Amino acid sequence: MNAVLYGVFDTSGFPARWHCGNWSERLGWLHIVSDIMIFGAYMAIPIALGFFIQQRRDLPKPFPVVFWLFGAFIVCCGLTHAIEAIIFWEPIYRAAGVVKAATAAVSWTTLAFLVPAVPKALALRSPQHLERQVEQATAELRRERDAAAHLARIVESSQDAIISQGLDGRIRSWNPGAFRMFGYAPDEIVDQRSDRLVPGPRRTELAEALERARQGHVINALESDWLRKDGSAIAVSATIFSFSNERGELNGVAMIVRDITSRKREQDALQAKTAELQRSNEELEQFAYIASHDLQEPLRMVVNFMDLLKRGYAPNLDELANKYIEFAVDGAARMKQLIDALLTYSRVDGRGGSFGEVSLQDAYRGAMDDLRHLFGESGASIESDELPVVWADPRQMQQVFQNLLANAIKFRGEAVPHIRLECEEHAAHWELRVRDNGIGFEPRHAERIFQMFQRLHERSRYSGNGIGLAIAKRIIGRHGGRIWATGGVGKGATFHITLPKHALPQRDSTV
Amino acid sequence: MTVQLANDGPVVMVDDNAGDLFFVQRCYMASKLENTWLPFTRGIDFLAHLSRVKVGEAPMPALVLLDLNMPGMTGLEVLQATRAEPEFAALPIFCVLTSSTDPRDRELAVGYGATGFRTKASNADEYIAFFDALTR
Repeated sequence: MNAVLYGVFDTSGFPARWHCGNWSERLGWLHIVSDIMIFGAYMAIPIALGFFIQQRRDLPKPFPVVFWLFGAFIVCCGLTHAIEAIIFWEPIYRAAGVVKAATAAVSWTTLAFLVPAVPKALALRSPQHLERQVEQATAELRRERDAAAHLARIVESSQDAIISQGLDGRIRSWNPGAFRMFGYAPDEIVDQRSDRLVPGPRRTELAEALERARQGHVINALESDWLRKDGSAIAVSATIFSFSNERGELNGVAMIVRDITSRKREQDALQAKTAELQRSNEELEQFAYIASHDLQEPLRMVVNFMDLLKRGYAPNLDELANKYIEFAVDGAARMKQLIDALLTYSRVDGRGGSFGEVSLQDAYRGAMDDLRHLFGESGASIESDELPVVWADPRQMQQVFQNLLANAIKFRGEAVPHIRLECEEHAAHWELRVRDNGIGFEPRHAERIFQMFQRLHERSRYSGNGIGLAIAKRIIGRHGGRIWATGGVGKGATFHITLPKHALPQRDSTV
Repeated sequence: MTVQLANDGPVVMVDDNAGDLFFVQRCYMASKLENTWLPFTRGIDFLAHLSRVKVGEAPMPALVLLDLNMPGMTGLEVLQATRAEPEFAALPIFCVLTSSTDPRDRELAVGYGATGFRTKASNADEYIAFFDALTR
């Protein structure tokens, strides 16, 4: 070892640099001072690098090694310069060669590590780049915060109660709508179990709904009666659904609860009113039915015994007495007609047939068959649009056509009666029109003609008991439609009927 | 429906309305039938009569006109009680309806075994024609 060191520092065979060539004092010292200053600086640079590496322990993989190698390379360079200065006095050219060889080795090694590290170094983000990224992230965060704030504002302003709860069933958030609806302030209810909003018997129902929500179902419009803080009941419609965190793990359940107390109350009132109306309608029907039945008995007595009187005694009575009998018989016969009409009218609702799909075309043809005689006699003509299929009582539809068509012919003017049966499709209903060229009516009577026993003309000119239109109106009413008349004196009359299009089960799936 | 009287027994009419009973009786008198006229104003009286027929104390009626619309025992109940006895299974019973417009009473009466129907008529000719058609 010592022999090797001795060999390295052996100076034999070389003169000191001062004595090799014509060194001026100035040039020699320029070299010496420069080399020593370079050496000093090259010793300091690795220290700075070492410090840097100590501080930046986050540097990715090849960089610390590259830095260390670079430090070693600079140290070697520094040593070669120091030796250059020493050689002015001691010609240690052998040691200088060894150090240069070491420097060469370290510098190539550094290069070998540096080359593959260059692309990685290039991939490292520049501070500007990083800054831009930070800015973008900040903007993103701000947007998210704004969006969250918007949502929060919506939740806060909602009239509906918006409540969330954790998986433990304890309430996590409680919006002002919930406060108004249930009366609990947020600090009274947050962390409490949500089933305190629900009366005991309803808790199973809520628990089941929450469980279904946890399984991923959305419970829509669950109608129930819940409890306010003061113990009063509140009718609600609740939508319940679960939410998850970004990894898709179930996080909790939210409820949007709407107060439907007033709607429920209106519904109940409407239902009560409908039931009441139905009851009174049924009573009225019953009344009309019984009255017309029981009225027949005494009337029959009058008719029957007038008949017997006429049969047995007409030849023995004078003309005047027979006239009296005629009037009595006529009056009684008309009374019977009225009672029969009343009976028919009272049966439209209660004793009508059942509903089904009815081809109005068939109903119209049926009516035409029954009216054949009337058409033939009057020479009336009729043209008809294609008629639709509706949900109705077939017999009653035929009855309506019969009444309206018979009316159109009965109230004819000078001209030969001509009737148009028109049909127009609307979004939710059909409109039928029976248009005639008859005597028409004064528009102010448009309502009156549909009333029972109301006649606009004396009996001697137009027969009938004034019930046809009343029955038509009642039938159309039973079918959820409307009937009305338009026209003018001498301008003919048009009867309009609407029939709802809904509830054709085979054709329409919407209810 | 043509029904011929089965025997010489009485022609019975059950109706709570004395006026109807009297009117139909007058029509019956004017017809060609000569059987006895036997009116009842209550279903229960008619059934009492039938129990006497059963034990041979009274002759079997030839025809019954039964008003459906009666207070107390209704015509349908009388019809049901009568048909429940095998002896009266063949007895011609015509149900009398107040008006012809109610199909339900007809259906029920057919179900209980009515032979036919009469609507309470407003003139004598109809009844007379009805009775005349029953002559043997």
